[in-house]
Amino acid sequence: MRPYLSSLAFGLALGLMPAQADEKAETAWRLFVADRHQPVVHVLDAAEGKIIESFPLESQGRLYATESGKTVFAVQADAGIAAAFATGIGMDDHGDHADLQVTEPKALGVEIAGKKPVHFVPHDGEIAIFYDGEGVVRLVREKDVLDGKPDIRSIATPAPHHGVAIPLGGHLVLSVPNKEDPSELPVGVRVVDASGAQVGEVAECPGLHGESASGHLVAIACETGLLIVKEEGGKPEIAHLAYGSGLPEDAKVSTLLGGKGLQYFLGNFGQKAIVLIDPEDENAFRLIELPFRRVHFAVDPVRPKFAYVFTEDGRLHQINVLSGRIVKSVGVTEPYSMDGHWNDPRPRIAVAGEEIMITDPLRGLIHALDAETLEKKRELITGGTPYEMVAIGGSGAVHD
Amino acid sequence: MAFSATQTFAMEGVVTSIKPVHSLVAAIIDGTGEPQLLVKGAASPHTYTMRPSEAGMLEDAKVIFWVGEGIETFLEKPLDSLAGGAKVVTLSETPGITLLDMREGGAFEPHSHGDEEHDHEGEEAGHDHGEEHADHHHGHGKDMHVWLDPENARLMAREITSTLVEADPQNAATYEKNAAALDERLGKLISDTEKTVEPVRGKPFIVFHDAYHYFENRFGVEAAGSITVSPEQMPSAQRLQEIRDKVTELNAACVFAEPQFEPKFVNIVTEGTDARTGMLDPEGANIDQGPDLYFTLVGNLAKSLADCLSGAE
Repeated sequence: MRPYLSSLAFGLALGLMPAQADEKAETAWRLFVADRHQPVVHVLDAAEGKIIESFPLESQGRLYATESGKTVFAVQADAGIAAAFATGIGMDDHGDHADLQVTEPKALGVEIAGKKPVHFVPHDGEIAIFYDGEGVVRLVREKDVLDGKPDIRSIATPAPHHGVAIPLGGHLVLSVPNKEDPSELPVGVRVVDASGAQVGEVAECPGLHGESASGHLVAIACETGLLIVKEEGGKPEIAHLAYGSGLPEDAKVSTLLGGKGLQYFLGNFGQKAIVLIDPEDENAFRLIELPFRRVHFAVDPVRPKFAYVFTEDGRLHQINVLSGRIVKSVGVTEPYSMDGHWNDPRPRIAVAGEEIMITDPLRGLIHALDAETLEKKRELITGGTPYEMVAIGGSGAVHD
Repeated sequence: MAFSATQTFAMEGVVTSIKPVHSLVAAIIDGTGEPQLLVKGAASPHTYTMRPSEAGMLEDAKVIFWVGEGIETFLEKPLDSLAGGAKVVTLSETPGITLLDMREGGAFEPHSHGDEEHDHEGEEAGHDHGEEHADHHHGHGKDMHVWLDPENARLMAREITSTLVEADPQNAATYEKNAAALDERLGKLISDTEKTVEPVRGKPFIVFHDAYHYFENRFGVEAAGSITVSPEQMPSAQRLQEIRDKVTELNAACVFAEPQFEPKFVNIVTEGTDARTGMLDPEGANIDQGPDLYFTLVGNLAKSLADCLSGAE
């Protein structure tokens, strides 16, 4: 019989509790790691520190996990494919607890093809993949993907562009390309209903790039500030939040992450800073300056008060999002300069339960740091050039 | 700045979860400080996600008042992880308060925010729907809307007072004086509410959200049943017919929704029946926070029931 774990840590925002306090607690975490130079994604058992499965890709893959953690997509822009994999770790909510089902990871045989897929947005159980080369968003429900029977809906925009689409409660928030030059970043968003008909006016968002969800909000980054989207009366309502006067004028947010368990956003802001954003606070933007240029940043889904930034001097910085300060910094790798190509292999961060994982592409391994102390605990050897990474898992009590 | 020997400092670091709790604490703390409130406006405590500033409130708190497990779902974990330095007072555990069992089965449908045909995909994404709500509103099988009985509110106010006196003995006299005034007001609220609902006792009504058992139990009115409806999703034609059949079968004089439901939605659900429609607000979603909120909330419940049921044939 397959083991079932009652999840304690998977998705802290759900506020899950153990089914029985006296049940035996166990943990299962997996890392999906894409190589920079080889078209392959490795799956590692985090506890064992070993590769348990490798899946070939058509080209370099960028990895995205769905909100449920049941599916990981490898978006392969060069090959024109978004390929789906079952993580083998799934959570079934039982109200006062959740059972975590552990099975083998597998390729689902679902490959959603189109010209140059880039932005991948999972929301409300639906997945939206934007194909820049066509200006088309393809939508699919995660349940159908897991069943191996994807029912793909496509919605076209006026022109190929570097766009994005966000499913939101039966509607879709869709980027509007620049009419004069669609190769430029989008200039706004519009809301369409299930039939593809536009609802309301276009919301301006010059230089649109970056979106994320947190709590009951979705944020979209523009040159002028953020668009904050929330559902009101059964449809998305959009408000513009201008950058605060205290922020540098020569920078903007172009990458956004959404807090888990706490409602906030974390964005880049120039090369040597990040910005904490609470759209509902009087002082919505708090700038955190960094000692060196930023390589990567991540929020902690298990300990919601923390986020992490990796800088080019090879150090990891722990951010307390309540105080808006760096509270701890540790050296992890040799320096990784931000000079050079944007897609050169550099470290990436993922949180796997009680460990912070950091890829070290040039050494072919992943560093595992203790989440409390940030001390290095061990190294997980992947070989090759480990680059993009997502962590999936949880811990709980086994039901036989 | 110099202080006289008799001057006292304001009590800071008092955090409350939802508006009705904040209202009672604000009345008792009046003149010494202002309690902080986590769930403001019309937000639901079941689906709330705290902001960093609110998590900071918990970290800095000296005393935290909440109803308990099942109401402020979002607080259950943060109270362990963030509020280590605070005294946490679970008001549903106040000694002597009336605790009622959940009403389920018969004419009372299971608690849920989606109808039976609701697609539960969203649950996988961590959204609160359907089954996610199956355990809401109750801890260990008990209905947790304890504040809707003003006699419970009186006992909760005493618990709040003794907690504040212990945490801040310098201001004890103020807390006790305020508590006495609050108790007197609550007594008057009970007698006023009895008078308001007296003419409509015995008239059957249906609620979209079975939150009012404590109010009904105290004042001798009784819901005939509840209907599980999602404010985000119009029920199917088949489900609408089921609801209308139920309204007719229970001979309901009124069907009560809550502020998150558009009036148009409520009218469609009850179309073709003889039932009138009304609005009940168990958490004060549309009432300004403060010491008077609790009285407005209970007064509004009584008035809404009386207005709708007295107008019914």
